[in-house]
Amino acid sequence: MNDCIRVEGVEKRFGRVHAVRDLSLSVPMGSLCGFLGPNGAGKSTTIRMIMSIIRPDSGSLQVLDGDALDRKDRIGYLPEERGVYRKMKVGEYLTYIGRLKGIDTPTLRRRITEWLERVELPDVQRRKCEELSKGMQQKVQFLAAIIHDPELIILDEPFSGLDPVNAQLLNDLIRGLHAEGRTILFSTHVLHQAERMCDRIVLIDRGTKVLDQNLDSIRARFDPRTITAEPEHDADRWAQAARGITGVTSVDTDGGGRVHARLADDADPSHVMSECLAAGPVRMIERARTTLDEVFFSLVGRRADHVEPESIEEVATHG
Amino acid sequence: MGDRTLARVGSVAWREFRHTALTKSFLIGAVVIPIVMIGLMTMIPALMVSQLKPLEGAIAVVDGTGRFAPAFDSVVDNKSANGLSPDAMEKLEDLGVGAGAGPLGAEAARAAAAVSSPNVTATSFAADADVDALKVEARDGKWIGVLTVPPVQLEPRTGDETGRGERLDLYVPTDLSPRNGGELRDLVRSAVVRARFQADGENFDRIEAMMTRPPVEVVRLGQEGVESEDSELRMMVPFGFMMLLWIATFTAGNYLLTSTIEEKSNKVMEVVLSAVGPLELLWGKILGLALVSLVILFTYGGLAIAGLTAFAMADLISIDLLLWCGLFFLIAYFTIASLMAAVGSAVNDLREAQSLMGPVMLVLIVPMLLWMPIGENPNGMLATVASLVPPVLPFAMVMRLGAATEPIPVWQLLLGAGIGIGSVIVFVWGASRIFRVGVLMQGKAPTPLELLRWIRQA
Repeated sequence: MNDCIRVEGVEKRFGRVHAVRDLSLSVPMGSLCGFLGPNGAGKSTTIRMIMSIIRPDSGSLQVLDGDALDRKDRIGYLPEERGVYRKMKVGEYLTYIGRLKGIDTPTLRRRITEWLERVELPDVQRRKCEELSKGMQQKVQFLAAIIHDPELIILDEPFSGLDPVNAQLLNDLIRGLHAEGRTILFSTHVLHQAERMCDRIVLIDRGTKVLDQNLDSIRARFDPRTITAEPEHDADRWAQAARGITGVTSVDTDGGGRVHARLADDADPSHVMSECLAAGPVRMIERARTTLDEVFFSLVGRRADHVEPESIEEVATHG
Repeated sequence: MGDRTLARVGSVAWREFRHTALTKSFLIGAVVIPIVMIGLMTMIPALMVSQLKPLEGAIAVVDGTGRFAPAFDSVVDNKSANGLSPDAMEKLEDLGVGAGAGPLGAEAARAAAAVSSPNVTATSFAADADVDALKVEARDGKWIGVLTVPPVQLEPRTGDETGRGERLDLYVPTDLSPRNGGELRDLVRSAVVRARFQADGENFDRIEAMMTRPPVEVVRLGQEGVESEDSELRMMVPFGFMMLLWIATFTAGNYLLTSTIEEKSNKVMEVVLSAVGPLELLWGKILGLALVSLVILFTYGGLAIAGLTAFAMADLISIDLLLWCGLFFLIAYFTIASLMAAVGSAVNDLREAQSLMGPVMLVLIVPMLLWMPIGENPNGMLATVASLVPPVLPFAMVMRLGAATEPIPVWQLLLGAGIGIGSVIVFVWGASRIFRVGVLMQGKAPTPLELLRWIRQA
């Protein structure tokens, strides 16, 4: 599979802050890739370098087999710091951005009408942007990123500030665009959000990449090899029975009435699970999955939502 | 530069122009209101003249000699017969108002002459007349003035008088206009002089005729046999040229500053930069607002040329002059625009912009200070140096071109244009370096030293 984005050995410093360190990553064509990391990890700086908005100190970046500057018309970008021209009408604004991306006006008119209907804003074309609510403006900003039908879509914290209903709408739109064959890279510091959507994850921390894999590979690599069950009656008796099952190395019971059975490396989880079901009736039984938060914790030794004392991006914007 | 780059610059330029010049606030604030104001200003003299009332009525003169009233009536008759004095005509013509000064000027002169024909008679009263009773009559509208004349004032003078400064008192009702009051006072003073000569047996009409100072018309000898009238209004022409350039460049420059700050504060900058490069954005903004500047230039310039034509001074404008002014307008605009773009990109709001506006303000103020010295001596050392030193160069040069009492040596024009174009390249280059860094910066506004660092690092 061809790489849509290829970053090799990129470094970026802002004064004394080392924002991005020797970063290499690749985003395959057609993938939906989550670019994750806590606040201040260097995500937006990397994305700005990918977009050629800022230049790396060293290293190389290739987007759609070339320089992003020459590929702007084929890339859709929703920056983290995003706004609209307050005095422009919605239709004018989207037309302006679309024209800058090289789309002719008749095509834009048709697309703007279609897309505004898809995002449930059919009557706002002639309204000034400043007259829209914040949520409506965010939808318009998203449309500005995709109105030119780009091959690659880069979304920097697209869900921030959205209410649950609009977040779900945006989620569906992103999935829809991916299903149409577009490559999507989106950054977020909310790891479980990416977990639900992405097929590939790049995790960075303090400017350094700590993980770059398919989600399936990550799940296999960080598989806790644990079966969790919630027995219907006596949890201790059920746990006692589970200890006797071949392939189970240890069994713990937590305060919530759940039993966690750890499996030996060579045990077949499906076989163990059927044995567990025979141990007594259960309300719920599942193979436990490691969350990305747990993966992050196991890789860097702290939680992803831990706020750094000095955010790199805050310093970066101060030069 | 590729087609796509040109298309993107064009799109940005059109948006800037469309959302600056084709708005109600611009059309009203920058075009309609100035036109209305200039219209009102040209109408004010006409309105004033239309409201002037000629001096009419009778005055009561308390004069023991009885010689004042005949002298007064003679003065009034002479003035009504002759209209404006040559001195007054000369003064009007100096101000560009006169028979030869175009339709507006001639109209003003005619109106001025019409109201300068008084119709006043004097009635003599004995020295012991009741002045208070006359004042009451004046209040009741019988007299437009009550005058007491000390007899000593009407005696002939020998040249060594002392203590003859005894005052004449002129009482006028409150409804007499100040202008008519002044006019009446002048008639009284002239009548006193006339009465003195007559007391000495002189033919005052003859003396007055001999004392009349003849009008002298000053004619400027221009290039290739062109001759034109002299006028103090000409002093205003270089100032007008400079102001025109100043308004056109600074208004558009200010729009550039605010639109850049707006894009930063609305956080739309990064969205736009995902579609265009920073230099494409900068050039689009500069070119779009250059069109705005041209709209202002043509609006005000057109009005100015119409005004000069109305006052028959269109000879001050030539195609050569307009072409040179056009070139220096472009130099001035790109200088100011690049400074404004650099400041706008480096700050987060207008308040922060004020702290970096110092150098720009300097370019604003210096041309004002140079107006008088350059207008007085357009080819002097100060004018020559100022017109060769950026960034005030274009302003000083158009003032020199406007002063036009003698042609500027061509080598100076060419050198000024060369230095100007060179400085524009340097300013735009520096601004583009600052713009590239500044547009994505948030937080504390940079100091001028930091701006220099950005220029080096960008």
